[in-house]
Amino acid sequence: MFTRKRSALIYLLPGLIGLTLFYIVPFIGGIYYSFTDGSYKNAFVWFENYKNVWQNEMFLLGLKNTLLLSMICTPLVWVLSFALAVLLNRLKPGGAFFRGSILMPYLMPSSAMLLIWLVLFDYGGVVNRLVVSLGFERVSWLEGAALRVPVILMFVWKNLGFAVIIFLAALQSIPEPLYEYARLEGAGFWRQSFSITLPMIVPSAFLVFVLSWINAFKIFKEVYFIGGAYPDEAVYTLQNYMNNMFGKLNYQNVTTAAYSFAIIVFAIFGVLFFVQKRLQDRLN
Amino acid sequence: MNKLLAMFAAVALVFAALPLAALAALGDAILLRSGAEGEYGSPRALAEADGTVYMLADAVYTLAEGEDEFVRHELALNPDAAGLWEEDALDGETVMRHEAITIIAYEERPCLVVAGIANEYYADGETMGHCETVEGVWLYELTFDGEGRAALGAQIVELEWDDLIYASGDFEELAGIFLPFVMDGTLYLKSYDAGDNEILVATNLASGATELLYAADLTGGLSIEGMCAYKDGKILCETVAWGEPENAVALCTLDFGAETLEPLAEFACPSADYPSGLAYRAESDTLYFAMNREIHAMPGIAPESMQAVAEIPVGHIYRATPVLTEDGFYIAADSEAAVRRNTDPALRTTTRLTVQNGYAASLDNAYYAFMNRYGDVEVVLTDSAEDLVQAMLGRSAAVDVYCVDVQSLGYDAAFSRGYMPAIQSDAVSAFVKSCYPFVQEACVKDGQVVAVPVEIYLQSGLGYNPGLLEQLGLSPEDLPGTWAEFFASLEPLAQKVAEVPGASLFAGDDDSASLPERLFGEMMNNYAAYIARPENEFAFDTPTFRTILEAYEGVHWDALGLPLPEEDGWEGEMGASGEMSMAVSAAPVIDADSSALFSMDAYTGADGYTAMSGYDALPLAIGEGAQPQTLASLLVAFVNPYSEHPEEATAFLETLVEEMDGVLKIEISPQNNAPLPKPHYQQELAAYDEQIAMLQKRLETADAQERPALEARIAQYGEQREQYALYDGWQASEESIGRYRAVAESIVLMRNIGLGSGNEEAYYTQMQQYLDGASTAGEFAAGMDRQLQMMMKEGA
Repeated sequence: MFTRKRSALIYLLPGLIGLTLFYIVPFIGGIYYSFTDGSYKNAFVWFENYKNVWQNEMFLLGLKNTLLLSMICTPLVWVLSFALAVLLNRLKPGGAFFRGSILMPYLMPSSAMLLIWLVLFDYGGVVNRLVVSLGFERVSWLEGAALRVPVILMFVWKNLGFAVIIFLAALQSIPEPLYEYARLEGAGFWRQSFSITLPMIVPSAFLVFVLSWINAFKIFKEVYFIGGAYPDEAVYTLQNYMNNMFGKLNYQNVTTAAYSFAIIVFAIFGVLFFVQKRLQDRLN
Repeated sequence: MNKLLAMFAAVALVFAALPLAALAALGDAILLRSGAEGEYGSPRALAEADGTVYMLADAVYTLAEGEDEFVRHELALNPDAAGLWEEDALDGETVMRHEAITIIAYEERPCLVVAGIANEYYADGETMGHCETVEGVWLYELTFDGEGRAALGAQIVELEWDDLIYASGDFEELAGIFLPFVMDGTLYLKSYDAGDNEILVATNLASGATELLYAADLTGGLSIEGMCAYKDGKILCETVAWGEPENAVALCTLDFGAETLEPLAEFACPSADYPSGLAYRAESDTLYFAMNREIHAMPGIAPESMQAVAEIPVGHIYRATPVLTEDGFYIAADSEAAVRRNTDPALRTTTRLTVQNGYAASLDNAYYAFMNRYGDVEVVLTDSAEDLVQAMLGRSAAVDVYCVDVQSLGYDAAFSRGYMPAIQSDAVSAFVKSCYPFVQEACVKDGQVVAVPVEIYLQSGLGYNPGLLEQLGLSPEDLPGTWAEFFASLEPLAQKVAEVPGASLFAGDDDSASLPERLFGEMMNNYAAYIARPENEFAFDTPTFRTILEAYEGVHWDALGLPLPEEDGWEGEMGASGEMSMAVSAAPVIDADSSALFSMDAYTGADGYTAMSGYDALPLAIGEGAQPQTLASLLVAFVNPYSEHPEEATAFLETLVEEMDGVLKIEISPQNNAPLPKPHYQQELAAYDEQIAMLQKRLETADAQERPALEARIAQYGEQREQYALYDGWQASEESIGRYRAVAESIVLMRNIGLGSGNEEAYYTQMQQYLDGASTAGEFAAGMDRQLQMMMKEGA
């Protein structure tokens, strides 16, 4: 709680100015472009661009793939990071090394990481050798719909660390006496988990969920690096569509697609926030 | 008070009424230019004497006071015999000739430094050899004869330049002379010794006595990049220490006699350029130099006072020291242009027109003509411009006129999104609308002209040898009309060709591995151009394409008589068994006597080369009913819709149309058919006639031993004269224009089918996989189509 709100505002001002200038103003300005025709005269065309974009097959394909990838990646990251956090929480004295290791992929630049994954998933790479040793046929992981697998694995590997840190912090903030008291009262593992652990970590869990989903929406670099501007239809994301439209100078379609997606994201997270609040209240 | 105000108002009204040009940089002019009128070579020196500026290049050029163009004076330094061609000399004959080395101003008169060169001829078997010796170097006064030619006047002094004469076998030559200037009766210049070490030379023009100085001893190994006369008998020198991202420039004063170098000033400049063309004005203690296509002034030799005072379209000045005239003009020259610029910064125009450099002759013509015509607008030809897409997005006004290739993605985006405004000029519209349809497609949108063609690049492509075709008993009608037919015809034609001794199927060095790839690439380019047209299906997976692939796969390349891979032509003839292969691969030629039926390098332009080519173009259609195609790419210029000077930009495009290169006009418009001789066409023919006449005169008195050689020589010169008259002397001859017109109707511009940095690699990878046999025709076509279909579905 700030008792001196005015002085806090002064300290926040530089950040707020930057946020306004570089995020809010362009955001609002972009809305204008989504209502113009894109020629250098920039005539106002109302919702014509939105109509065209929503009728475009490739936009819908990109949207579908983006949502699908996010719905696969987000729960994976959430579940795995929670499980790892629980394990790391039990390794308190020696856990620092593992915490650092698990965070490393998050800090590494994507392009450097991609090269390693390309080698691993190459037709003659380590992964295919493993597959062959298990008695299966080799797979062209970097082509076609199979590209989804390395993309999802790369995403999970990169984003796991940060989620683990958040969960770990949440777990470590739960006072130990609560568990002792519960044990004394005869509560078992599951009762402790549902009555103590879950309610205490719901805000952090929700944060992890939201952050993972936001990052999953932004999957593009890996797909573009491997598949180019026009990868297989199974991994063609909304970012591919927007990127290609930008290259064609059709920034009306870029902004229209972006704002359409923003509305969807706001709707999704609005629902999530509502669910989180209800869950929190019920657990409390 | 009222009277004063009225007078002031009147004066203000007068000034306001004056045309803008009257207040611009007065005297700015392009004095001479290389181009359609001819080349003048590298200018060797500039000098000013008695108000007239002199330049020595391929001739002597004079610029009288108040004039805006150099006048050419042919050099007439030698007797007629000095023009003897080597082959026509007699054994033991010695011919003396004078060669102009440099031009200077001495005692208010123009003078030539002239080397006397003796050519001694001797019989060397069946040919005539000669050796050259430099007899001496003299300073002569420059005069002009009755025909206005530059001639030698009174000899002033012999220069002691023995140390600048180097011997190499039978030849002596004078070292190169750079940055000559005269100060206090002494000629200073830069040169190099026999070991390529830099030397500074000082010659007393009264006595001819010469001293040399090794500059590196004083500069610590750095080269003297520029020098000029300073004050108190000293020379102002420039050294540059190269570095990234900046060079360190040092200005020093050199006392030649005392052999001392004292620093004056130091400053940094971008590593891409450095100062050149130094010129010092003692009255204002100001140094002028050219850098990055601008003239800079440095009052007091203080780097902090440095300012750009004028634009100058001259590259690096390394040879001819610029002239700084009494009335404040800076005159400099390179091999492209000789330019005069006013150095008063107050007179520099504030209107700058930035044009993206397309490296095309028409653009250069427009650049110089526009600057001469519109003195109030400074044109900057910029070598680099922001990405077009980014510039349009950011509404950038940095470039006023863009030059883009029609094949580029930037052009596509700008054209389709309406970023090319209509050009408000009747002259431009009339011209573009007189061009071929393929030009109009690229330059006209919705009935309005939005771009102007700047250059066309005709792709060398498939051609056939009509002479050999006739020998095979075939006619042009028997040749294939489509790519599928072409591939299917290769083996039967190879068998026919094998029956003609010394003939081969393809000209050039391609072997049985490289030729298939080359032909495939050519076919793919043609197919891409075909599907880029709006009336054709935008797809690879079509029956037509599969038919072509089927025909391609049906060719047995090893049976065509081509050399085997990784063996040169001579070994390839023998093969592994030591037997001769079916046909000998001909050398790459554009020769009427070539023994190959097809060439992949047939030239199709309207210029003189086409008339000399032994191959006629063979445009092929993609399929039955389709138009045969000859591929070309086109560079166009358009006005930036965000330009702050749209009227000036439009005027520039009008100038571009007016000054367009003659051959280009022929190539893009069917209405221009007048043949274009090369500059000095008549003079060259006259030179041949003169030589032939000289030989015929000799023939009259020649003995029986000399007659056959002289007659053979006369016949040879006659053939060369005819070759020149018919082919070499033309930029575009009647024949070359006629041959071009035969294929012009089939010209199709190459367009980008959506390939960019993101997917181009995938495109070529798939192609290579097919060529390597890693994918079938069906997989290849489907794979190529996948990307195209996605592009199409995304829309524009």
